[in-house]
Amino acid sequence: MTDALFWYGCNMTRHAEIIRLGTRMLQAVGVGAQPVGGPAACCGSPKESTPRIAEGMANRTMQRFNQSGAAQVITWCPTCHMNLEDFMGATQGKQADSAHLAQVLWDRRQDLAPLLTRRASARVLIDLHMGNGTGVNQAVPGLLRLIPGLEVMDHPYRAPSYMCFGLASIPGALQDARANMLAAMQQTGADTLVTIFHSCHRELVGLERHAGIRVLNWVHLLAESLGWPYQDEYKAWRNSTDPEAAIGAERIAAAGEDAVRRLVLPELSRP
Amino acid sequence: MIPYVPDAQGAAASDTVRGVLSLLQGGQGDAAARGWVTACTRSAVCIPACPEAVDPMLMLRLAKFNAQENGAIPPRDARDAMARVKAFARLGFTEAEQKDWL
Repeated sequence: MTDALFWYGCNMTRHAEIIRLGTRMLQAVGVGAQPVGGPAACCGSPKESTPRIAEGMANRTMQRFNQSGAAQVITWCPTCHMNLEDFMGATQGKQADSAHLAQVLWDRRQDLAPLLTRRASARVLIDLHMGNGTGVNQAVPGLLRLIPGLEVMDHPYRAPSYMCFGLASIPGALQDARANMLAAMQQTGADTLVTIFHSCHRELVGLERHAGIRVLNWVHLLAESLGWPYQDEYKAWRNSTDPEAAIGAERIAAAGEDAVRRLVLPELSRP
Repeated sequence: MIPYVPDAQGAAASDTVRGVLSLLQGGQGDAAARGWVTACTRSAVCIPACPEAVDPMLMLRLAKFNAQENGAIPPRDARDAMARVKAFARLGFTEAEQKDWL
C-alpha cells in the first residue's frame, strides 16, 4: 500500500526535475508519495471536446487511485485538481484525501523550515493567477517567505485564468499577461519571476532571453535553499539557440527521433 | 476576458446568458455566447459574484463541452497531446522513472 500518490498530471513530463524534487520534499517532511501521471493517469481534460472519452479516462484514473489504497492524492496540475474535485471524486467515490503539493508542504512548514538553510539573494515576484481552488496563492508565497534572505515582493496584479495554459489559446491574452507581469516586476524592483505551475513555466521561461530577468519555479527556489542540486533542462533547451544540439543526438535517438522532431523541437523553437 | 471576444462586445448580458443556456441544452447558442464560453479561462471570479448562488464557471465549462461536441465551436485539437507527453517523458525520465511513474 502507498501512503500517498503524487499525481503530477500529464504535461509535467517536461519537468522531471520538479517531480523528483517535489517527491523528495514530501519525503523530507514525512510523506512517502509515489509519483503517478502521464496518459495512464489522465484526468480527461485533453479530451474534453469528446466528453465520453474524457469521462472514461477520468474514471479509469479514479479507479486506479481508489485501488491503490493511498490515503492521500497530492496534486500538482490545477486542471487535474479541479477535475478531481468537480467530477472524478463525485462520480467515482473518492476514497482518499486530496491536496495540492504546495498546501501539503505549507501544512508541514514546521518540518520544512529548519531544512531551508541556504540563503537566497533575490527579489522575487510570483506569477499569481486570479483563479485557484488549490490554495497555492496562499501556500506558495508562505513557503517562499521561509527561505532566508529571499525577498518576496507584493503586487496586486493577478493574471487571468488559473494558469497560463488557459490564456494561450485566446489571441492576445497571454501576451498581455506577460507584459502586465513584467510591468509589475519593474514596479516592485523584482529580479526573478517565480512560476507556480508547469504551463506558466513553459510559457514564461523564454523571458530570460530578452527581459533581463530570471524565471524559476517555486520548487526550484525551495530546492536551492535545501541545498539540493537540480537541472531545469526544459528551460535550458527552450532558451538554447539550438535546442536539438542542447538535447543531444544520443538522447534524441533514445527518445525516438521522429517523435522528438515532430512533437518536441517545434515547441522548444518557438520565438 | 470579454475584451478578447469581439462577438460579445456590446451584447446584452441577459442575451448572452440565454445563448449559454442554449449551448447547455445542446443548441448552437449565439456568437456572443460561443465567444464567451471559448474565452472563459476559469478564473472563478464569477462564482462569488453570482447573486443566484449557482456556479457560472461550471455552467460555462459544461456549455463548452457541449459546444465542442456538437460542433458549435471548434474542438480543442489534442491529437498529439499524449504523444507529446510521452516524448518528453522519454527525454527527461530515466528508464526506471518511466517504468514507475507513468
